[in-house]
Amino acid sequence: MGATFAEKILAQKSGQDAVRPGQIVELVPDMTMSHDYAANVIQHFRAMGATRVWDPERVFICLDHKVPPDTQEEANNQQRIRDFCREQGIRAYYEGGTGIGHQVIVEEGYALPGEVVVGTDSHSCSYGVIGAFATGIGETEMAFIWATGRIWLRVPPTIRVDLEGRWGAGVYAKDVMLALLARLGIDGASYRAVEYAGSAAAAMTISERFTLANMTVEMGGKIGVFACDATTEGYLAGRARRPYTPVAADPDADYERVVSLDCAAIEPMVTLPGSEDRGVPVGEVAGLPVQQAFLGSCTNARADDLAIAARILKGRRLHPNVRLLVVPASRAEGLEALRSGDLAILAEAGATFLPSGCAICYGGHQGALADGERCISSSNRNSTGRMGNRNAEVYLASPATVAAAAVAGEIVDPRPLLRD
Amino acid sequence: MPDPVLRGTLLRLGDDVRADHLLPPAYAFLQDAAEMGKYALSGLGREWPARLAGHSVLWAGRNLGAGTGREASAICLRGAGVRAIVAPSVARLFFRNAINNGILVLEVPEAADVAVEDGDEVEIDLAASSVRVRGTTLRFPPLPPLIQDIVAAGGLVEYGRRLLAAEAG
Repeated sequence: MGATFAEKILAQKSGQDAVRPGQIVELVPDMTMSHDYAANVIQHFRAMGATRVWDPERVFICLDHKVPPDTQEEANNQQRIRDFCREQGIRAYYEGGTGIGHQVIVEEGYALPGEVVVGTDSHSCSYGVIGAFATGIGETEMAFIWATGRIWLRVPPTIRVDLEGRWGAGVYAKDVMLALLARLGIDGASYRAVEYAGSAAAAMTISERFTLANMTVEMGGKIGVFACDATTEGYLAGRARRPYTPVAADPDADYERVVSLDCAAIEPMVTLPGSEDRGVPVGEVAGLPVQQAFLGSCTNARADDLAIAARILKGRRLHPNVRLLVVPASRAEGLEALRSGDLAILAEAGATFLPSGCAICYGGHQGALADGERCISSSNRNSTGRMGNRNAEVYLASPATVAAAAVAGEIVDPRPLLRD
Repeated sequence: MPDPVLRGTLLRLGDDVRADHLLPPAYAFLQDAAEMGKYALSGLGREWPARLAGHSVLWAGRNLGAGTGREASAICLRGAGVRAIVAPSVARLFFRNAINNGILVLEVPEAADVAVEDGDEVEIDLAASSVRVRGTTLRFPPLPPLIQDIVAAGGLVEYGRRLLAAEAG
């Protein structure tokens, strides 16, 4: 019996011929990621009595949660991180404003195929986009890794998701993911590795794959991975910081479950508030007024997402009752949208631009909702209180559906606006 | 090894209580566990920290702690005096964060079948891999030794401190 991606990479990295699901292995991660929470990591690191990070070349930090900081305390936290990086010789430090950490680590070539990468954030699973075994851990755990270079991991069983067919015009990778979440549920992949496969997966761009890898945690997944292929290698050419050796699942690997999704049957989706698996076709909630539209987050705010929104907003103005917040996933993605003219289109429509960071996606920074308001968002989570107010609602959608709602003042099918 | 027998009273939680509900992000940047503990469970409503007071066992529903991986969601529970969690299923990152903060996390599928009430006495016997409540004894798969050691040390910081001291000495 062959090995899944997870079994193969964890066996290799722990020096064994083969491992099986449920087994605990110990290994040295290839790269670690952190952001503003690094201030906590440093505190725990020192409390353990550690003085030197085991390998400063395996630490990547990008500030993104409080960009720029609002308070003296937040600013001092960030200063502690800068001081620590200088003290330890950590070179991969990216200042607030560079972008969301998950976007930057991938675009700067620090997370690579065949590597084990862990980050102090649940959306670290995003780096599965380029074929890494990537997952989130807590700050104390990261301190332990920085101090000892070691982490224990339980080998996950694997669910393979076969994506076939091609989605229609006005339907996007985000809609595919929201449909998949509705089908599997928020714990449908709990503790599982998810391998995305099939002809549709192979045809996806890196940005599209990123959306799926990113939201795998919303199903409880440990990792969400796309096999490294020509698309991956093209993306990483000139970008990868180190040589890499991709790991591929064996054709006869043993999957706990195989889920098939026909992408051609998927419509634009909207995920209802309270849980990430409450996705419905947009028609079921058409007409619901919204007050805020959020085009941001590591899920969907890259140049291609901004371009899709610009197509809908070109020559149009925001509905008078709607505020549109635009947060490019990184300065680099924002620059691309700037040079293409897309940012100007969004500005002319009435968008408000925020610094490249997590913003209100996690409820902690810039863009809180008022009581009774609805936000339609290109982000990844919508549990009660997610955007800073328990008395407000968050609807998840693709950038097209977000832009369409911003124009209409209510949730609408984006397809007619794309045809104009 | 952790205390073989842990006794305490329980507070019930429903299904799908998110990590964001255990501690909303507004409190995640507080300085220490005791401070955070004052707001534990406040994402469910303002009355919940008071409801938790005095109970050391959380008897939760399915999929406890899903969503954000912010460790504050586990730290606040430690700060509020929670020593053990019993649930049919627990989200993976929250599981790790709770263990790393010295909280025993037991995934017991049959926990959903026992009609417990707030304040019920719970007895956890690690050596026997059993949980006793309302006259019912439930069994769970033994926790791996490494995990038991981390909890016994009071969490990963102390476990790490001892490990580094031993390796240096």
